[in-house]
Amino acid sequence: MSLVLALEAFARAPVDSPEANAALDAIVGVIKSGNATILNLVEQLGPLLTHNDPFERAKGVGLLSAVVRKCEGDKVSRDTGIACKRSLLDGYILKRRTNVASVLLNFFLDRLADQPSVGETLKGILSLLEMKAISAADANMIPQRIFTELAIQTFQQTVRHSFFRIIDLLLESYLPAVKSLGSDFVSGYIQAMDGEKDPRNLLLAFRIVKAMVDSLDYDKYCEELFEVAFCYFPITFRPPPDDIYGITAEDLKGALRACVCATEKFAPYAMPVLIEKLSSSSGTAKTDAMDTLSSCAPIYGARPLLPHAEHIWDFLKEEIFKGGNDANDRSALAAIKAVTVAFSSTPATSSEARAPLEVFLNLALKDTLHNFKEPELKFAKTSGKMLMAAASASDPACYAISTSVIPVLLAEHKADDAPTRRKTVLEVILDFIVAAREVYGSIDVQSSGLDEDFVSPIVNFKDNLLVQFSSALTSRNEYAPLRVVGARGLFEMLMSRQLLAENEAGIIIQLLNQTVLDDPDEDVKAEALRALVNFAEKRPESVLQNSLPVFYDELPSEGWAIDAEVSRVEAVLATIAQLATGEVLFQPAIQRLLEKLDTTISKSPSDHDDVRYARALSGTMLAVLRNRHAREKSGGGRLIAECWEPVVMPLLCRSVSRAAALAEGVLSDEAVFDNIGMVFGVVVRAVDAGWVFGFGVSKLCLRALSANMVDVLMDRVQKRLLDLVFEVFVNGRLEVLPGLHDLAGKAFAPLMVTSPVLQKNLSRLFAGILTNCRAGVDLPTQDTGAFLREIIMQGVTDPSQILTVTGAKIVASVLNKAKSDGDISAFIESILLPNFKPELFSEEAPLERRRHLLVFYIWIIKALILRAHNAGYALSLDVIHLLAHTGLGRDAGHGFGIIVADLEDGTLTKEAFAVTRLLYKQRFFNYCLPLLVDGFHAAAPELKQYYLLALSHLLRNIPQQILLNEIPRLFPLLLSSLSSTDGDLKVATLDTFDLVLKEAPAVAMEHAGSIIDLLLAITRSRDPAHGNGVRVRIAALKTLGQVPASIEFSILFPHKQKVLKALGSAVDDPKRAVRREAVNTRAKWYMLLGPKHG
Amino acid sequence: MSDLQNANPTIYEVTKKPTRVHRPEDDDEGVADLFDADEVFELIRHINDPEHPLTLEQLNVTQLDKISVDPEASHVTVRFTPTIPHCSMATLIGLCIRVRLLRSLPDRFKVDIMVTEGTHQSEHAVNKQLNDKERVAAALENSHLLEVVNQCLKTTIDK
Repeated sequence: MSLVLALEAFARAPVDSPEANAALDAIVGVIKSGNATILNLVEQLGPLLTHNDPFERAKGVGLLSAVVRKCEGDKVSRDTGIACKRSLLDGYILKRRTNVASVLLNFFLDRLADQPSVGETLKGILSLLEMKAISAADANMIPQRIFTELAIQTFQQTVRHSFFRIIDLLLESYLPAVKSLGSDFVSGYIQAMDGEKDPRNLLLAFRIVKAMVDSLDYDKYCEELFEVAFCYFPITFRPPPDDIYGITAEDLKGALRACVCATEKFAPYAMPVLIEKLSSSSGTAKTDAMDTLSSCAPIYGARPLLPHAEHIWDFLKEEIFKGGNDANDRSALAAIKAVTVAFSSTPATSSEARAPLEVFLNLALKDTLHNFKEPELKFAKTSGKMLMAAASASDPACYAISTSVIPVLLAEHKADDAPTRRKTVLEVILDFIVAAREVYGSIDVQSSGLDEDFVSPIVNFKDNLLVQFSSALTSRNEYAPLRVVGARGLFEMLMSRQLLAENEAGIIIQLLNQTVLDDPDEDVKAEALRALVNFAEKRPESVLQNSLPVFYDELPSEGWAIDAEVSRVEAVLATIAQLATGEVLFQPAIQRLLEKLDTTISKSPSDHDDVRYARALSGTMLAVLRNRHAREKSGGGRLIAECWEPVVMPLLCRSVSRAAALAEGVLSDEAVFDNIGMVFGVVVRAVDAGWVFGFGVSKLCLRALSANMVDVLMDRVQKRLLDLVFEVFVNGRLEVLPGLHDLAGKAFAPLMVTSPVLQKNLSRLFAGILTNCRAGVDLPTQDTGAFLREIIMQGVTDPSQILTVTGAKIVASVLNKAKSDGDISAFIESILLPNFKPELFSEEAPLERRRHLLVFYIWIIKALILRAHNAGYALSLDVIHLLAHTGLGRDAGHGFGIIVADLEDGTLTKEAFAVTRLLYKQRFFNYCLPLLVDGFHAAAPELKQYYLLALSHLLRNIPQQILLNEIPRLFPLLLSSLSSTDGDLKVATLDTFDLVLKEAPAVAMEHAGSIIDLLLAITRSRDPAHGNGVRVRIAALKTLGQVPASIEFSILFPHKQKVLKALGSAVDDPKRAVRREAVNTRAKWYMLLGPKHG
Repeated sequence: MSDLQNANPTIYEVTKKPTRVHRPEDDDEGVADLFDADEVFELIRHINDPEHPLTLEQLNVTQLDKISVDPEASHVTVRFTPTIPHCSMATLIGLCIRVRLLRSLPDRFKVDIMVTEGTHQSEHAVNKQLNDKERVAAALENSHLLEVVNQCLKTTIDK
């Protein structure tokens, strides 16, 4: 299309119509292709631009602006080579080589006089600025002309928005040009901004004010500039409910605050008005004023604040004494701190008797000190908080306050030894230690960063405080809160820089140790432990030396002789697990645990309870490793990987040798080997990740295997580990393990169904290593298919089920990590389907065997679904069919949980190097959902619950968003789950309902009536046959309590009386836990009072 | 601030979470748990004071040992202690306790709510008002009063 035709089309079409847009695109196309220039366009536009109808003219300008916007910068700024003969632009193109942008800008500026075109004109100027096509010399014409020709506030919002963006851009990109205009720019802008009301514009306007303060000379108009911004204080904007711009009151407050505290020159104007707003009656205005004061004080400095010191203090004091609103209190305390910082920065002048800080602190102390005389009253606590805020501001403030307050408090503490009183007093003192720590630093701060001349005032009271807090901690009276304060005080002292000597810290740690071990109160123990754990982060050597040995001593060398010991030792183990995650403490702790575990495994059965002890020890090792893992994630698993040599190998050798000797005892326990298997897993995963060069051990043990294998590439460490355990567990060659030479020839076949249980138990160790190897690590076997087949054969026939579960994990891991999809298909088609599928579906086969086979099926499906292998979907069809089987339906239903859940032991997770495709859960869900829904409808009534069970597992494990998308379709099924007799199913469904009520209440809205009735029915029927146990009733009540918060009042109101009445019998439930929930839910329904009561 | 009756009250350390020891029969569906003073205390301890952002427990207005429960006779007696003897809020506090228990205990319970003896100058008048069914009902007809009560009871939710 030629330029002329396109222009005609544009002129004909109504503004913003599709035709107009098409014509616009055509014009842009012509110009971009180089067949015409923008100046040609202007030439052609002549008639439109000079039209008598103002709207036609505006249309012409609009077209020009739009074209400028859509063309790249170089088209616009390129020199023009065309002389214009006869056009509106004749006057501007004086020289042939004038910059097009300059021509356009001049044109636009001249159009400013044409009122109806102003909106489009400003857009044009904005586009030119945005593409940086304008020279600095031209740029300073823009504000001049706009300020003289336009009364900005008479235009509509979009026009004003363009104006603010133009000014913003000018300040950003053309600062020197703007500067050359001097204060005229400032005054022009003040006039233009005055009266602005739109939040979108104001956000920009405030930013501009701040930018002007930062870079322009505004001294002449300082007060006006302040006023034009501050007149918006306090911001009361509330975004409309359907707001699409996303501007919040907080955004505006922040922007305005940045203006107010942009310069100390504003202080004389700001202080009187801020003080006035502080005493305003509106809560938000007050908070806003306090926050603004906090931001301003450090900028303004002490001088402007000083005349108002008393006022500020009085107001903030009142605010805190009154209390009641946490956010408000925080703002007030922050303001106290900020003001104290400001006062601290200014020394007294020669004419002043007292420094500003002293003036302010005297006010503060005068109003608060007397409150400490009666420490149990409310004001004592609040006074402490205020002084603490001030004390944390600076060295002089901290010094002045601590030296006045602490002696008073200590005297009070001495005067009355009632535990409650002591506790309150110590609590206040504690705050000052915290404040001092803020000012003078913690033990981990590099001392170079702080001035050594400043010494914490706490040092002067150190000895006394140590005595008081220690005696509080060791007070053996009934009043536990006093001991909690003792522990917290000692902790704060431990953490303070410059405060304690080495031996003093040691004594405190001993006290904390004793508390963790012996205090009768859980809260006190927890506080002491928290202190030790946090201190261990900073000073691990001290804890290693003073703390851990005490806990090790508590661990019995044998099992438990008496039950009373159990909880104590378990607590000690939990303590060690928490303490031992840092680098320094990790290895020694693991080593100690290993020694104890090794002893329990090695000893022959006795009357001690070795098994539970071994469980606790192995569980603790696992916990320590996992805590460590969580912390090492970023830095690779070096320390964990290094456990292979000192931890895994000895444990492996010990277990194997005991099992080969058929030694009874701990070996027969499943849980112990579950834990140890997981310990191995965590270590094996880390081996490849962080352990390339530290391959000391395995050199040693592999020497037995073959000398030249040692030279294999270092990064194939996992492969060697796997080869080693394969030799031992599959081939039964015990002699390859270090130190087990004598056992050569002993029967050891943990993967065979015929072996004794205590050998089969060790299959978990094998699985722990195998399932955590990387995908590239090959099994050392010629025929993987045959190996897997053997594993399945053994697992299917194992009555103890040990080999069923470990076997299934092994098969799943191997298949999931197979090299190619073809390998997997081959296994499925030539081994699984011909050998095992018929049996799974044969009614003649024993049910037990079929159930075991189903376990393998489910794990194989999981392995394949993860890597999106098609056979996985085909196999899952089989499992869905089995949902309709009376004997296997429940297993099949729960199987869906295994398939989609991320398992706790880590098998087939990404961390265990499983091959996973993105969105596999979603794909599987989408595949199964219609099948399950159809199956549900077709199934016999007594089998329907298995479909619902499978569904509930899927729903629990898919991403929330997908679940919410599908919920409308599934709602009827979910509702019928609530009438099932399966308690677990109901609890799971109620979980889903909770989620829907919170995240997608609209879906629940239309079913509100049925939901409420079903929930009430559950709370009413306590017959065990209905499966409404305590757990179910509580869950139903919780969901019912969620309803008023999620569903509209108008929908719920008709149900209110019915619900209250029905809950009247639920609050008489025989079980107390249910009553508790019923009371809470009923209270929520009583509070359902409609919008008026908000 | 001056309009508060008692601006600077004594604050008491609250007892911890329910200290009820878990018994094996708690998990037994067949064994009924009887109502006791602990349970009733649990219901009212978190009620907010009308004057302060503090709970009745923090102000020592309600105490466990001032509650007696007779599950056989379905009878509950609650005594509460105003922070100062001339406290004009006493009736309101009592009303809050009354409403909380009306809403939380089964209908079969008869509940007496009384000021602890000797802790309030118009003890009798307050007691009479709080235990007169019709007066309580009439008070709750007053929408402003009900709003105040609901405000005080808000803090009992989700505790």
